[in-house]
Amino acid sequence: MKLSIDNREITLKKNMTILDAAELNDIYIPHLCSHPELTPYGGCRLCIVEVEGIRGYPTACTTISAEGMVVRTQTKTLDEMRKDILRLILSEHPTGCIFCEDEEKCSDFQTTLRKVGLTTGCRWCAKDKDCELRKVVDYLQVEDMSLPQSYRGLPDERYDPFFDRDYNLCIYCARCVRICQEHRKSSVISFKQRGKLTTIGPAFDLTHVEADCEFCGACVSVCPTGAMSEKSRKWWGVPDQYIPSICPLCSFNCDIQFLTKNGKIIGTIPMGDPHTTGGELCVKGRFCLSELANHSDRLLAPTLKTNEGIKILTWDETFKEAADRFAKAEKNGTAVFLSPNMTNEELAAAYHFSKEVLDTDIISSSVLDSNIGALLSLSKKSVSLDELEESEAIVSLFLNGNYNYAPLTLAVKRAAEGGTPYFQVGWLKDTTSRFAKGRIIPEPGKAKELLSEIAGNLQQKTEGSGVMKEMLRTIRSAKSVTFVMGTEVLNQCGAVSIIENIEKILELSGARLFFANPYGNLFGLLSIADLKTATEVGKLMEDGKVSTVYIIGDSPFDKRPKADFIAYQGVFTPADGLDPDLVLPMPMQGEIAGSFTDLKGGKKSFKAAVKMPDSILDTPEIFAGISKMIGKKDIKFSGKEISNLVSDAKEWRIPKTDTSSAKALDCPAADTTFNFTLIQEMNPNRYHSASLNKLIKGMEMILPEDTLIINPADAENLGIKKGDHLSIESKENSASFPVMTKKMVSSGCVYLLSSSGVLPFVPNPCSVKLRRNDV
Amino acid sequence: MNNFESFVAQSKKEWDDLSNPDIPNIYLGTASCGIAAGAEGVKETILNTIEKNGISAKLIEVGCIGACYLEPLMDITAFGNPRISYGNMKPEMSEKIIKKYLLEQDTFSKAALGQFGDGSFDGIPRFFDQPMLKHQVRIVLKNCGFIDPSNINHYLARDGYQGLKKALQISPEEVIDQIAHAGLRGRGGAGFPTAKKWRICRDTPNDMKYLICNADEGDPGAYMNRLLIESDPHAVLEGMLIAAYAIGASKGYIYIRAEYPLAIHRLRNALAQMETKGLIGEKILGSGFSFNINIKEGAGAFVCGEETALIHSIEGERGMPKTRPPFPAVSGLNGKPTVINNVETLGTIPHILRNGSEWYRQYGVEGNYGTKTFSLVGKIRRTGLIEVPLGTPLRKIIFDIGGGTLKNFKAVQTGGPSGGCIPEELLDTPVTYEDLGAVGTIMGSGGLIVMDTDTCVVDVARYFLDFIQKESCGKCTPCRVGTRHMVEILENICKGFVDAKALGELESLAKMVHSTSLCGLGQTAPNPVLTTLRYFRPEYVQHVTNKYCPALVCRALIEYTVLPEKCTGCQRCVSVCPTGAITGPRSEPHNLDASKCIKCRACYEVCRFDAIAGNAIVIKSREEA
Repeated sequence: MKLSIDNREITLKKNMTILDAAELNDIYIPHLCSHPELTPYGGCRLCIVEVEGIRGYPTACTTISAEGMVVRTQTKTLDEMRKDILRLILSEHPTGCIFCEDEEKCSDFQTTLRKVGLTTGCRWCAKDKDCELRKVVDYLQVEDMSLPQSYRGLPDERYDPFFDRDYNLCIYCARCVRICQEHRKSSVISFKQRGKLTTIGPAFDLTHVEADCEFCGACVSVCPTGAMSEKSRKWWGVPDQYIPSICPLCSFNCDIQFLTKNGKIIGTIPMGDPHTTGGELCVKGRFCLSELANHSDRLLAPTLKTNEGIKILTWDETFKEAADRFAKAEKNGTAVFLSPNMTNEELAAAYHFSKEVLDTDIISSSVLDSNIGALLSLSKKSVSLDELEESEAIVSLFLNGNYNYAPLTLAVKRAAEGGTPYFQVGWLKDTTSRFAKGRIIPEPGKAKELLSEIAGNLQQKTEGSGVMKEMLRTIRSAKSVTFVMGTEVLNQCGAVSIIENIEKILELSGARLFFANPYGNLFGLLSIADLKTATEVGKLMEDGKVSTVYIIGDSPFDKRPKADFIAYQGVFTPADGLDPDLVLPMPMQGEIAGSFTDLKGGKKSFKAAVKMPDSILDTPEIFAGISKMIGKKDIKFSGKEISNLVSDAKEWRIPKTDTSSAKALDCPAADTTFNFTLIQEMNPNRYHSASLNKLIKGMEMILPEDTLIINPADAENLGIKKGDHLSIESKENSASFPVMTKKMVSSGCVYLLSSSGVLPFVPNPCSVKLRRNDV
Repeated sequence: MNNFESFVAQSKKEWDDLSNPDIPNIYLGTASCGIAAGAEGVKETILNTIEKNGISAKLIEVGCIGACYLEPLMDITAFGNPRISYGNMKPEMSEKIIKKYLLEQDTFSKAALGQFGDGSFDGIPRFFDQPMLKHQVRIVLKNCGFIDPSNINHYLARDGYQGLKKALQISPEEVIDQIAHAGLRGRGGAGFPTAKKWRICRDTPNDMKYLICNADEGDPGAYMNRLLIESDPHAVLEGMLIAAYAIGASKGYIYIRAEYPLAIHRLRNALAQMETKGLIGEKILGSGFSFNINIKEGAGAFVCGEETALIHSIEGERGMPKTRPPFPAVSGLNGKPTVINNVETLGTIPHILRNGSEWYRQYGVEGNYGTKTFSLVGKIRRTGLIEVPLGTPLRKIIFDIGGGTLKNFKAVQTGGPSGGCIPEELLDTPVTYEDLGAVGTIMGSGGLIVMDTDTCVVDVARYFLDFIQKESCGKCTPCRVGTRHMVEILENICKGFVDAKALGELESLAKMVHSTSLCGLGQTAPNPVLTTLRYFRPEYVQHVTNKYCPALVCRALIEYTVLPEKCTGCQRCVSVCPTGAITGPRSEPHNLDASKCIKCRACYEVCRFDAIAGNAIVIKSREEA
């Protein structure tokens, strides 16, 4: 297709908007609302052009180019009109930073101390130096304001976690609204009100938390002004560097970029152009990593518990102390716990160290409970995300995609929006529920029965009724069905039977499985080390066969176990009850290079984004130091050795599990004595040993631990307000918790995210009675 | 069809019985205008009177005949006499008339407005000889005020659904050809040829097409669609069926504002009745044509009258327009070809099909065939809903039909907030799409707001701009921010804060908003300003240079005073003054404390209206005062 833009002959290979065609040919047309990732909008009106044969001034971003079109983008009239439109925008946007004769001089002072900067440098806008509005002002050379200025006087919105909003700076380009709707498929925010009262936010003046915002941060990324800003890097300005890496916070290992400034990690964003990235990440990858890197709870020096209290050690003292204590243990007298968030290199070094230096086979990880074997063997069949999206039908099983698994929930939402039938089995709603054709909510404790009903129907070719009927029909008629699941079933009583039934369903329906888990490098751990289950190691310790414990990153214990010596090596301070003898710091993601292994054995490598704090040593260096002290100088932990160990790793393998003991924990007969179903989950949001809820206030705000989550309608019926406490009683137990309302819980269910490794109520799910504490 | 014919025969009999009843029929206009004027109270009294006096009579509620200034209207058919109409009913009066007429057979002719017989009767003039009705041509409004809108039989008896029957006997293309030949243009205001719109949609291949009836009537002072739906819902529904058949739509929506509860109620009732007669749903009238209608209540956003915003609203999104093309006829609701027609357009269609396009072309002028309804409001003697052939001069509408203004005529606003103000010297402009466009306004959906010399045009422009500003969806910059600045400038002019420079700023801003806004709402928003600046510039100049408001409306520029030589001290103004600004003992000239006065005009109105003191309270410009 040929057309002319500004008297230039342009050839296009496919249909596109005039704006895209111009940009492709390096013709700049000023625009603010248009965004490469979003559908044409035509709101700001800055990209108006003249097209021969078209009445008026069409916007380049919404007009599709056509054969023989004659477009003019630079005329005096257009320039004047653009300036006028920009003046209109500026009449509602503070312009102190835009029209200032001292601007150039001012920037010299902006590097001074923060307090001074705030008062002398107009640094009240988080987008200072990175403001798209200002770029357009500079381009159009608007140098004055003919219109009276008005300040909207809207209050700063700072009550939600992770990002602040100052709609006084908003230019209503609706990029945030559109990315939330088009990319993230959440539609949490929209325009509100009309005319000059128009603002943006969730409907009915809810907070973002109340409106079930996923805090993916896409809206913040695309905001052209300072209206939306990340709390944690609001005043850091433009980052020095964008360093590609991966997120270690779940099995998806999303590609991210670490933003660094002055050698510090100040934020993370998805890969791609910083201003055009969409909502590919979840809250953990988008907002938590930088908070973790700069957290005050980080361990920065080795310490030793002595009779006089905690003593800070030098690294040489540390090596000596560790060597002394580890040397005392016999062969297989030391238990080592590894974390599924460690890099392959750290794991290989740790495994090498355990085998060769500590002379022990007692190596485990807290994630390896006795049920995981069944789940892992099922997960061997897992397909890729692309295969999932191409399926003709999707069924999720007990998946909780709230604030988690963004690539997965997005794939499901995209597929369902595109017409793929999607069914959800489980108690909890998540962001995909809105797209589900049907939801099946089992009775408390009857997950196994429900699944065997599905299997039975599939086997006997019977139909069932209601949603079940619809789902079975879909499963039968679709050429490819994918079941989606995470590790949530492991929290449930009778998990092994549930997994067996799922296996049966997969077999009968010929369906595929997609498996997600909340551990960054579980498959790296399983492929590098021969492991025992945590249950088995726990028993050995109980029996006194193991009395020295070396915990590396992991968190198997809430309380100090029976042991003579416990060394804890981690990024953050250990759990209060652990009470270790020796504490060693370790670096975290972004400070080290390394690689992660995925389910298929594929490896993703990454560089360090910043230098680790001076007082910290890299994990292999620690092992080398201890080895040397023990006297095993010939065992090397150099980069080459380690990378050889990593590349020698075999296919991942499942630790030997004792399924009979797991089966013994099978669910008692379903109990429906009371009218509420309590669903409990151990917090999957962890980095090494640390619960993100404990470290990051925002995480606790969006989904708090040890808080009873209840459906808003149920809360209203019970007369419960936010902040009330509820007593819950099951047949065998009772406890009291604060309450929060959230729509992720179906009516008739309550949800508890447990901070502890042991769920407070048995069985899970459990039939419970609710009572307000004041009644 | 046989079933249908028997329904029609039955209905005809029911209708004939009505005009020659065994027992008297009492008709009461209970459309929104009647109810607002007190029809509910009259209805109660009528029922009580009948019961108490043992009169056997039937009360039939009808819609609005258009003479809204005469509401509540009560008609009586009895004793073989023609139907006699009584206006401005009060409960006591209705009781008196019913007793006199039905008990004593005295028509109480001095209270009668008119009768619907052919010749003269009992000295009562023919109803349609009244000046307001004499000049009208009633096509769309044919049934309004005559039939019971909640009874489908009344509609069937008066040739209802005959247009549909005829349409189904010919091909959809032929239906479109007929509409094209009739020259019907969109009555929503823009005047796009209806047949052309239909043809685009018909020619766009798709398995699903929609027809939407746009009943989101939002112009201040406009109520044509509301009263038509309330008085004759089936006319609109029949039009929808014909349109759907023509374009090949299988699903229809009526997008109506939730502020029209009675109209919604009437539509729901009508749809239920259509179902019983096989006029909606599968295989309508035994043909292969199937169509269903959903009612979508809008939350009262003005911009939702704009086609793309309306579609967004039906889709469950916020009602915000998007750039056209693609036009809805190609890609509309859910991305499918969609025709959106105004209520009145649809209400006209059955008549064209029924009587033929040639018949329709006899009304109106070349290029502007047919009739148009207008709601006549403002400072006019006879307010109401009227229908005139296109091409009728505005002067005829305002003076002959509307009876002129109370004070001297000043201007008329057509097309609501998107239209413009027309001065006296242009009153001979015929109402056609082109002629109105040429004087800077638009036809619009049919609101005619008449202003007299008590109206300040700057204040009018400010009012309309303020309305538009508050209704701006916020999507595009010129409309959201530009109109706000225009309102601010206008407010400053009304307050006397700015000088002549402001007029230039206002004008250039208006032109900019006009040429750069996204949708029709923004593009036409400056019309009231541009037309008033064009025709009433001296009045603007008076405001900015002399700080003088000739109409004595702009509060900041006027002051109220009591003329002691005229004041009789009757204390009426004292009792209405909300701030206690007027004081003084009875029978002595009162005192008005300007510092307390909020210029609410209440005292001025009572003093002038009752003429006790003969305008002892006067409004003066601040300069004079």
